[in-house]
Amino acid sequence: MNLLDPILLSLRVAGLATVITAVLGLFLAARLNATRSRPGRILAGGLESVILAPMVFPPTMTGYLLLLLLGPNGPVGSLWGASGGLLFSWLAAVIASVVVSLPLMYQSAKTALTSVDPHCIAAARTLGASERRIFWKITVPLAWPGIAGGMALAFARAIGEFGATLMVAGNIPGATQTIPLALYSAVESGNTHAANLLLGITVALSFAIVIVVRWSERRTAASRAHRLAGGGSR
Amino acid sequence: MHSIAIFLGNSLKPILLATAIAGLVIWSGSGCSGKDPLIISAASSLGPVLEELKPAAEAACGSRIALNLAGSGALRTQIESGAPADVFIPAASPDMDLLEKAGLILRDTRRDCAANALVLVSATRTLADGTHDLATTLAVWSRIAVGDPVSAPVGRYTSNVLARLGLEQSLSNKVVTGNSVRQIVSYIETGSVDGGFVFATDAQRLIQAGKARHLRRFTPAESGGEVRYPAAVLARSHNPEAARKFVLFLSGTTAQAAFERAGFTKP
Repeated sequence: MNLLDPILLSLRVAGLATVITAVLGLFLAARLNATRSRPGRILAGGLESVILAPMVFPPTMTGYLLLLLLGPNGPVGSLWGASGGLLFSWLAAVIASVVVSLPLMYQSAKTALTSVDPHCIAAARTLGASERRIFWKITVPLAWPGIAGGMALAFARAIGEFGATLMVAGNIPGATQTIPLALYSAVESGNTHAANLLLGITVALSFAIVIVVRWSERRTAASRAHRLAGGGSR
Repeated sequence: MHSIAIFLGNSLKPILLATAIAGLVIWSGSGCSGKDPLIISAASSLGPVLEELKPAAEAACGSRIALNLAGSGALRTQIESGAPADVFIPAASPDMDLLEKAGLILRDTRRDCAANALVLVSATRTLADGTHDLATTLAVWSRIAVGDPVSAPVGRYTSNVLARLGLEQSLSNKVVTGNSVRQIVSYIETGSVDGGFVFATDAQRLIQAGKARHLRRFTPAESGGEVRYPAAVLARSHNPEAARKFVLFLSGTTAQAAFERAGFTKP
């Protein structure tokens, strides 16, 4: 069993999925929680439950829904043009990873954005900064540790994604076989040597992710303490 | 203000870097698609044999081959949803029957490529020898691993055997149910059970690893039908000519020898 292929593919899939999830999650968290009108809030609540649904669904269920969506007869797959829709391609693995990791990114970004001191934003507004400028130059930098933590969680979820990926991307060595799928194949065929190696790699990756999450938590705590001490936005 | 600018510079750099890497990766990924390989959707238990046969099979059918390995039910669902597979090899006939009924396979290409048998093994720690009467052996055991009759093919054959021997009632409080034959194998490997019902191929691996002892092999009459692995070309195959050659190759001498080494029997 070739172990390099699944590792590179997993990093590629999880990396791209994390970039998409980060942009999408941050945008949705900012947009859905900025609406003040009543119908807007109801709509935002509905959209939020759609975003969070994959956290409740068993992965096989998410996989089955994606299969219907991305298949050649599905609304997304039929647009793609290829005979099998998007199925059995590594992009299908990216989509599966985005869908399951978006709830984690969204929730982290939402918490991080709402924890930004409104006085800083109000001060920027009195100085005449545009809303866009305030978002990119005040809100995002102040919320950055929380956003980075969300990205690390999203990356972790994407690296470990199995159920939905198996359904839509298949388990094709060298093409769509990620680390969890290779691990499944190794265990299923009794290849304990490969299974142990893949397990070791997964453990190492998860350690790295935990370190990033803890670092971002410390940064959040530190910036809060800094702000309480009266420093920061002067 | 200055400090914010620095902070912003620091915070945007990783995003820009990640986007650049992602762009590069997509570009490199889409560039290397040559001629599409034949996609063989096969039961994961066939993985090791098919992997071994891959080079010979590629030569025989003149096309690159990609194996897609998963449980038979998941593979069937993928095919029903239009996944671009060329050949289907499930571990049980019912999954193939359903696709045949739906007109998703080329009927004339269907043929069994291997067979298996139900075997009872004991975990090595338990004392039992092959000459013992089955009922007495099972009576002294306290835990027996069997497959779930609904989700695992091995479970269906096992419940047939137990029903035929009239043991279903007496064993009902001893059985540990596994969702797949692999789970039963793990129970036996770890010594969590006294023994269990597995396929001959699994038994061979367990015995070679010194983790189990052969107790009894059941005939097709006892297990209610032969354990067969059917193969067929799918109706939507993008290269039916090569797919046909692949299915024929599986019945050839090279492939059959490999199946036999792995513990399968001739269909």
